[in-house]
Amino acid sequence: METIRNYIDTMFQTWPDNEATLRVKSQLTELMEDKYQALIDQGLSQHEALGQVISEFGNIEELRQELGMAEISADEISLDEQKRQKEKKKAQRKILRGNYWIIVTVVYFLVSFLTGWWALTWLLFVIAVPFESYFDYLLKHSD
Amino acid sequence: MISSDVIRGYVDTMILYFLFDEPSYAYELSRRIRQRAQEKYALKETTLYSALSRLEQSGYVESYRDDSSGKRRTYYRINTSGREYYETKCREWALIQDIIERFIR
Repeated sequence: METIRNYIDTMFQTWPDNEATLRVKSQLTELMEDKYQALIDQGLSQHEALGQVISEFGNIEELRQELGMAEISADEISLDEQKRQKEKKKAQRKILRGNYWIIVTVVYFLVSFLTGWWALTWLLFVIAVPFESYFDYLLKHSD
Repeated sequence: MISSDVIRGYVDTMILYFLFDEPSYAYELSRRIRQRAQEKYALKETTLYSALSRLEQSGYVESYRDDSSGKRRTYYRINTSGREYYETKCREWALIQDIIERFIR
């Protein structure tokens, strides 16, 4: 049940990203979902059932101590997020870099058709060679 | 309302009471414990999970996945050292009861 899964994800946000954490989350989700279903079968509304299941959740800090799980600080969470975003940007840049020559070719054709200066536009390819490293530099520092 | 410190020592016993006879899964244990306690006591979800995890770590129960009942669930099964542990706790309680009774008016 999505609400329960979201609840669990939120509660375990500061737990380390390992197999033990995954196991706790999966087991607790199973337990909560079973309980939720049983309450629905007894005639409670979705809201009531959800409310009861959540109110009987217990103390997550006790659970953490019991299992000996370290806490990931809020800083570490955002660091993780930052790392993920950096990786994403890196991947995007890689794609752009790979397409550099395609871009050059497209520009060549565009300019040539627009101006008709075919005799000159081939020079674009010549300029594009040293420009490639400048392009690279621009991409790297575009943040 | 019972102080959780007091009952904490016997959460394992409550769980093993049922597992002694047959394997079961988390929610069923929770439900049966509450029923057996005649609604006077219910386990929090995290408390139940802690206890099951502890019992498994100590080697008193084993967990396994089973979907024969339709839904894929994690079942817990007691083993020999679990039975011994349960019996120890039963004897311990009898002793505690004997002692503390003498101080209750």
